[in-house]
Amino acid sequence: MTDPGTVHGLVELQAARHPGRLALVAGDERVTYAELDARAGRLARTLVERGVRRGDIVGIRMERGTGLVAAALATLKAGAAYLMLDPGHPRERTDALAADAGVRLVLSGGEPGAARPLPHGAAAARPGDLACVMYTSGSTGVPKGVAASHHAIAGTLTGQDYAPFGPGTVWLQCSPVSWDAFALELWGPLLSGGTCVLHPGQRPDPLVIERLAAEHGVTTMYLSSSLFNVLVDECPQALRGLTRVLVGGEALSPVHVGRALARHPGLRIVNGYGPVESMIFVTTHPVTAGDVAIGRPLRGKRVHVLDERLRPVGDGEVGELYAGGVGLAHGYLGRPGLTAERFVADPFVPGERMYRTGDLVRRRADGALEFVGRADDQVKIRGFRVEPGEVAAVLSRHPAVERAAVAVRGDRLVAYVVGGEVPPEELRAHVAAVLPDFMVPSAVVALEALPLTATGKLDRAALPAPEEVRPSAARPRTERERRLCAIVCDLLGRDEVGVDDELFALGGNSLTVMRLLSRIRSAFGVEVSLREAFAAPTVAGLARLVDRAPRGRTLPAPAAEGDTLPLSSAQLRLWLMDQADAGVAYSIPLLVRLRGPLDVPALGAALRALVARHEPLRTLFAVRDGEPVQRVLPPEQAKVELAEVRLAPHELEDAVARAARRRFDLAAEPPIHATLFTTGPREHALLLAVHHIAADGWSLRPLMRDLSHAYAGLDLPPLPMRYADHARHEDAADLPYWRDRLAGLPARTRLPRRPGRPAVPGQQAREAVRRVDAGLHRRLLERATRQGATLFMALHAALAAVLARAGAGEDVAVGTPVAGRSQEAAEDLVGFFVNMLVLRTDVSGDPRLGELLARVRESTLEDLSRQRAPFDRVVGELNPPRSPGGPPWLDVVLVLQNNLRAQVRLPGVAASVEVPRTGAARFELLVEATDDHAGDGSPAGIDLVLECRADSLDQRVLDWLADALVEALRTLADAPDIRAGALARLPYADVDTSRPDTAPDAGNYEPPASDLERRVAEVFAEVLETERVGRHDDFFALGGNSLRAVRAAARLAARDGLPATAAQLFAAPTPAELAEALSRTRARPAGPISRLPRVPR
Amino acid sequence: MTATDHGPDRTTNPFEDDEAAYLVLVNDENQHSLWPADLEVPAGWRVALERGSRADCLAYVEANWTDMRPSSIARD
Repeated sequence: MTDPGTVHGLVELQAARHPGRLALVAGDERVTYAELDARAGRLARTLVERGVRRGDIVGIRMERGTGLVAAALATLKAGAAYLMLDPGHPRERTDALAADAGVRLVLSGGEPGAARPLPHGAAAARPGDLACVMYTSGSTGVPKGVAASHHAIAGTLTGQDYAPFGPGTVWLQCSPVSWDAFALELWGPLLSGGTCVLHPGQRPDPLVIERLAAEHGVTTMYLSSSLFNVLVDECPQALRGLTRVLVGGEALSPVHVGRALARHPGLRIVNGYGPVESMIFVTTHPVTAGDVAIGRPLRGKRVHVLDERLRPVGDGEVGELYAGGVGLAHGYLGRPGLTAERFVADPFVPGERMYRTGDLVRRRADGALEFVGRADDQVKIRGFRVEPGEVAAVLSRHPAVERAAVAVRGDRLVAYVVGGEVPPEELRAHVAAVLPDFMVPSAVVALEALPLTATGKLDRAALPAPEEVRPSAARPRTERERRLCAIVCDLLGRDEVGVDDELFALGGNSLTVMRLLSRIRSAFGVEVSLREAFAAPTVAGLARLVDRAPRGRTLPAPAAEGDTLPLSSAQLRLWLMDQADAGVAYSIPLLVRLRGPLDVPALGAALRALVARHEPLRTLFAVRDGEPVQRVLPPEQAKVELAEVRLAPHELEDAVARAARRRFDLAAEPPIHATLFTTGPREHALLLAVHHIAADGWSLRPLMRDLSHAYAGLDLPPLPMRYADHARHEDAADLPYWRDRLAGLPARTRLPRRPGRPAVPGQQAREAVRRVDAGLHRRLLERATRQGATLFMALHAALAAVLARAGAGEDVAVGTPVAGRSQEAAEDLVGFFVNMLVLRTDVSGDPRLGELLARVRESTLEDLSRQRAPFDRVVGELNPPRSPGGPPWLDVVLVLQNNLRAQVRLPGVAASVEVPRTGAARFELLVEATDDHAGDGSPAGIDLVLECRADSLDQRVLDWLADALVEALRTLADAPDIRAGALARLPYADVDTSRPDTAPDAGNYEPPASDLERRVAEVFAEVLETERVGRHDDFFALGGNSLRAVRAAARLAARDGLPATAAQLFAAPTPAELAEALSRTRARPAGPISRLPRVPR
Repeated sequence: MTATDHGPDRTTNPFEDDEAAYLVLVNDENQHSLWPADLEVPAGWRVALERGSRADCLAYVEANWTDMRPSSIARD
């Protein structure tokens, strides 16, 4: 029996309890607990057969991956301890470490397999046995191996609350494998049932971290504070979606903590302090920008803050920190003397030891510790512990060096040497051959003699600063090199750099390279890997890498053009609606009026360039094997041409209206139509109609900008990412949040609807327009600001109050669109990213309007931070009854539009952009607000447009809602103590405020009543894999979803010759309704109304 | 050779004073600890080497603490 106090024993326990749970993710590999345990068990048998015994040490020199984890676990199962040998470090060093540790053997890739695994517990390791050896820099010039037990690891990683480790948590393993943080990131989740995602390569790469975090829904990370700062500055999206980030290794930057928390309000940042001698962390502290203490000890660990006679110092006084309890290492491998001077008798706990950390701290009145500094020379370089003495020892082994010293300046190591003339590069290479890169001095200063103090010690204060390395004369030769030089200068704080200068010689380090790569991605839209950049660390070298780099490497293995790909959830919803013959409402028409000498062939070419750049504009949609798929056409096959129409000026409006309403055949043609109307020699109007499946409000600016650039003859650079990859890697990490948040919320909202309206309201729209004047706009902003709220929240609170007074009840659902462009790379893309969030407001208890705003603020802040849940997936998850009226919870939608306008600029031609209204209502009730600001930024009023389906609400009801909304806004601004119940109630009694029918319950089986119903019911039963379906049984209540709806429709069409579409099935989800719907026709929308294009925010 | 690279005076730490006298302590797990001779010997530890120089004490530890495993494990 394996001891459950051992590391492998705990992993075996997880494997026994949850064999199928995901343990590891590495690239395309997924390894369950059962697979990992079995794989390690087989390797353990091989190790035992090769003579590995309890108490031995096994070296592991492997690339990070599932094989490395299996090797570590196998070593423990065999009763031995592992020593991680970083393959990125010089071979001479890792060989020396392996020799120092006296390893039995070194595993270096490949898995010598055995037929049968070693039975659990065969080697019978005990919790007190060694589990791992971790080498750290030694002040006397020799690295020292910290030998830690199973108990030290398990006691630090289980039964603690500084971080979540259990099922559902996803950790990223990105720290160097030689660190104790490796144990945190790997064994943390594996001992408790979580999942560990392995970062490829030896060095953490911010761009890779960002990608892995998004792809695998990483919830928790450990970052050294210097890496944390780089991520916050250069790749803040990497932290999105994390619930907790642990930061440690060096003092934390309050500025960066503040920035991260401002950007990710849901994130908890925990400072972790601890030397490797006491395993990972001794103390932790949840930090804010104003408080970056190192905190309090973990469970089972203890700390003493002592003076020079080992007496506790008072609160607020500085003392040296001693750490004891769980986690303490056995000592330094094979170094009893060194161990006896650092692991010393604890005067406060009989017979126990404590580790002398060398860190100076003070204890605050609240008990939390604050880090003050070091008591000795030890320094941290980018999170790595470095003893300058070890580097000096290596330097002095060079034959030409008589004496050497090493000091830290800023975040750089500087070498001081006395002796013959040796070129600095040669000395750096001498060190780099033996020591890892973080220990290689970035500057070398030759001295006549080392400055000494009166007592004969090195006088550090007298060491001169290194001379600034002069940039070489090699000037940039290309535009690309010029831009790279500018980026490098900015990062190094220099005025100029030569294209052949090594970044490291100019004071750069691996962190500089990380920042550089992120900026290269922004500037050039390509990804250069950390490994490549290290191999070519000059501007000229980087420029070659940028030239060679494939574009759009933001996401792994982008699909090739021409392949068929699945639809994103949002695309699927639109495609279904389009299939339901709802087409026009989902077309975005853009009218550009042009006056001046237009170069028509150039405009046609610009249009083709636009379509070539943006794949969604040349994507077709088809059904294959019952599943909708999209296929991107190569640019030359897209054949989007500018249609030219000559007409008289008075004919223009009608012609535009007709063209704006033209339907798209998404299966056969690209989702963009372009028509150029010419009404005179210098008078034109360009109508671009884009199907919503290819664009959203945020797309309009890049669309118009790129068209303008292409017309002006500028090259359009390739985009940093592809829409199709967004669709493939759709992120749904926040689904569980929304499942709880919306549980029990009725799918339909009670609105004052027209009695006798059709079951499926037509799309024809009616509108009410109101204006909030500048004074009220200003007072509203003041009210909102005072409560820490936004204008949107104020509008939302007022709307919720009005809906409640109009009979909607106390639990009000309002939908709102969000950009859905989580990656900055997506900002320049044309495509359908927009997502709908359902905001649920509790209006119960007749709150004062000010209180209601506070409630809305509270819930909206949380809701807005949970955007990683496609609306359609949320619907699928909660599966509310569908109804023909529209998607659930979106009867009322609120949008605050941004004043940023899409602009067209063509040389020599005056251009203005309008969005002709199609006259089709997109939702049952849409409240669109646009705030205006004067030139000095002061509030200048808000336009409110209420748009509804004409069949649903009367004009008088809509007008009342519009007036009531303005009144509620006024009350909120001027009299926030007035209760919502004091607002006027809807004065009309002849409206229907009951909840609209949702689908009838399944349950009471009623056989199909006609042949058509029977055929529909049979197909339903087939697709749903159920025995029978009654005529009133709801397809979705029986387990149907969007894809099954598509399959059912495809089968009805293919086998029964019925012209059914999936969207009809949504609207009519029972056999009885669908049978009836199959012969129904729809109302057509009315003519266009002109308005200015706005970008939603 | 390297310079005497001890940086700022570390005499504030009672374990780093080359001039002071030390003891070697041992606990029940046969773990050894350097200990300042003028401080009280903590409970649970016995004196293995009486008052000596720092170097002498460390040499004693090197010579006598040969199996660094806690004795409860070594016995297992």
